[in-house]
Amino acid sequence: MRVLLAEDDRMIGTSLVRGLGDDGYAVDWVRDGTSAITALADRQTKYALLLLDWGLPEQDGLAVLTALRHSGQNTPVLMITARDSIDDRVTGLDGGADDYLVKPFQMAELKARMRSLLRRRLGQTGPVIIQGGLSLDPVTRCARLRDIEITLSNREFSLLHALLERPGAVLSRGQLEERIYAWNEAVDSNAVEFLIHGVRKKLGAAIIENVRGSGWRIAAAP
Amino acid sequence: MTSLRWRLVITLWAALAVIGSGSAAYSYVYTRQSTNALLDYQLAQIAGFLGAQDFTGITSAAMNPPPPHHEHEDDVIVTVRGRGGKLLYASGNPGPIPPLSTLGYQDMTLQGASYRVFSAQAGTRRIAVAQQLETREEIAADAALSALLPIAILLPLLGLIIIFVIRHQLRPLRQAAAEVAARKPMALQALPITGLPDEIRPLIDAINHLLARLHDALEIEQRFIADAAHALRTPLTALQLQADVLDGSVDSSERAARLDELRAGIRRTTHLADQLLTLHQHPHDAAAVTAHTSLSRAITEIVSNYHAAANKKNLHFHLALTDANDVEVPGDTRQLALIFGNLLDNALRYSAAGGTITITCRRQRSTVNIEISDEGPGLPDTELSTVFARFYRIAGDRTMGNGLGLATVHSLVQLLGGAVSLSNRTDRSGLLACVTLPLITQMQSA
Repeated sequence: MRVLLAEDDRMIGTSLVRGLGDDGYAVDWVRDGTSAITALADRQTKYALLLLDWGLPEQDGLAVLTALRHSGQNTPVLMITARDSIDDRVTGLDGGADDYLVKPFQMAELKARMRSLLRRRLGQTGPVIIQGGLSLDPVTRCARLRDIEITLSNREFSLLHALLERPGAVLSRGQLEERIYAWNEAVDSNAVEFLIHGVRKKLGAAIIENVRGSGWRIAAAP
Repeated sequence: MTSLRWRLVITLWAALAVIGSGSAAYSYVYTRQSTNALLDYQLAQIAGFLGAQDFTGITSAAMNPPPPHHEHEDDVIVTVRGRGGKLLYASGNPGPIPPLSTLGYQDMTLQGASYRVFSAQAGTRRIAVAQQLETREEIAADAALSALLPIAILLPLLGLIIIFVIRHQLRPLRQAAAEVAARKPMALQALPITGLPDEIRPLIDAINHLLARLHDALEIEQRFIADAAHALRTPLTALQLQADVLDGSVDSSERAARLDELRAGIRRTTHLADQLLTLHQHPHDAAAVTAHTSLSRAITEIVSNYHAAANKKNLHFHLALTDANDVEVPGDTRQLALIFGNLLDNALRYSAAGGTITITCRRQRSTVNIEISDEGPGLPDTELSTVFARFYRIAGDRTMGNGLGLATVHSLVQLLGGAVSLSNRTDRSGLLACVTLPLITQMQSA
């Protein structure tokens, strides 16, 4: 899952990239408001979530948020800030933020809030994504196919998650790469096929359908 | 006794008592003396008057005693004798005055009582006029006591007036005290000065001045605490996250890297706490600075601590410290290390690899300038003075500062009685930090 992190503090940013990477997120990290706006304006990369620090240099988080919403993107935004007055929270939420986290916070809470935002984006109420006999639990990052629990690697989970975002939709190799890998990660040309191979081995070949010339989609009734 | 009111009352009362009893004693003695003199004069008058009288037809009262009720102890008694001491006339009790050998005033005893006698010679007659001393004393004492009456009434009255007046005049002071006493601890607005006597005004003015300074200091303190709490959030967040991600990694080298990151985070937080403490401890009066340090030794030592960091970035130091030889400046080594360490930190941080950092000392008449110049990008002119503010960070700055370094330098240099300024180099790009410190003269250091 591709997320954009806008945070100016090197140590916080480094730890967030590491911690989120552990959970299979592909994190693009920018350290000022202008870079954040540029990254968001790039329609090639569609971010599942924006983690936005309020106190960014050059253009602050609120300016980034305003620019994002003006451009008509409904990417979920989780604001991170050291300010904790009610007024600030109201300003942030009214400015288009979906949730709000006050520094200092714990990684576990951040991840839970991110999952909740992603769930809402997919229109789900429960934590587990269900499609036919296949269910995907973002907390344990396990897949379950007809009562058989299967452990997935981070990347395999991201791949399934991407395919399950809109069941039936066909995703190209580029679209899948863009959802699974961050900027700084070197992607082999057959990396996506390799991941699909892995998932098919664990869940059965029929789970992912190959649409010749376009890409892949999740099976209608896995 | 610390009450101004009672001190005034007691002092004035004591003065009143001394002056009052003095004047009472004086008027008592004086009145007695004048009464005695008057009575003496009266005796002489009577004697003179009697000397001009013809006593031939008068029967002596002594020979013909008057009825007892006529008898008056305080009466003047008179005895007139003719030639050879023949009794011509004697009035009432206690009988005739015996013949006297001397004329004029004298005291004598007659039938057990003391008398004041005046005796005069008028032709062949000798006249003696006498008055009992006891009577005279009574009259004199009566007169003297009545002279004391106004003082006796006046003294207590004045005493009461003193209490009342002092009480009344000290009321503004009491009101001011009550006003202060009723205040909440943080109510630092000025005390009202209307209606205060001129003598108390300076005190209240001084208190108000102090209150105003306290108010300012308190405000700075509160802002500082808020700023500090805010400044701590970022490193604490980093620490929390650095600790949180330790769990996630199974790879041992990745784990080691994450642990290093956590340690760096702890160092950063510790450094911030140190700086906050330094900024906060700094007392506002320069009198607290008693230590002084050799400048050249201090700078060489501080620079040596930065050699490793400089080598990492391939930076060189150029020292021109000849002017710093035998120069002592105020401050202890820790304070000087904080000042020059922070400036060197900045110079290292903003220098591109391969650059030179120059440290030059220039001795003036009573001060010494220490200049640290780097070959970095310098600063926009508008930021040259604002960077000294606490928690100030330049927009877009990606280095790991917490915005306290230059504030620490600024407040420490001020504490040592010096000044610090930043300017952009004119010969090339780069920042020049100039610290001016007062010289400790030989006499001061002796």
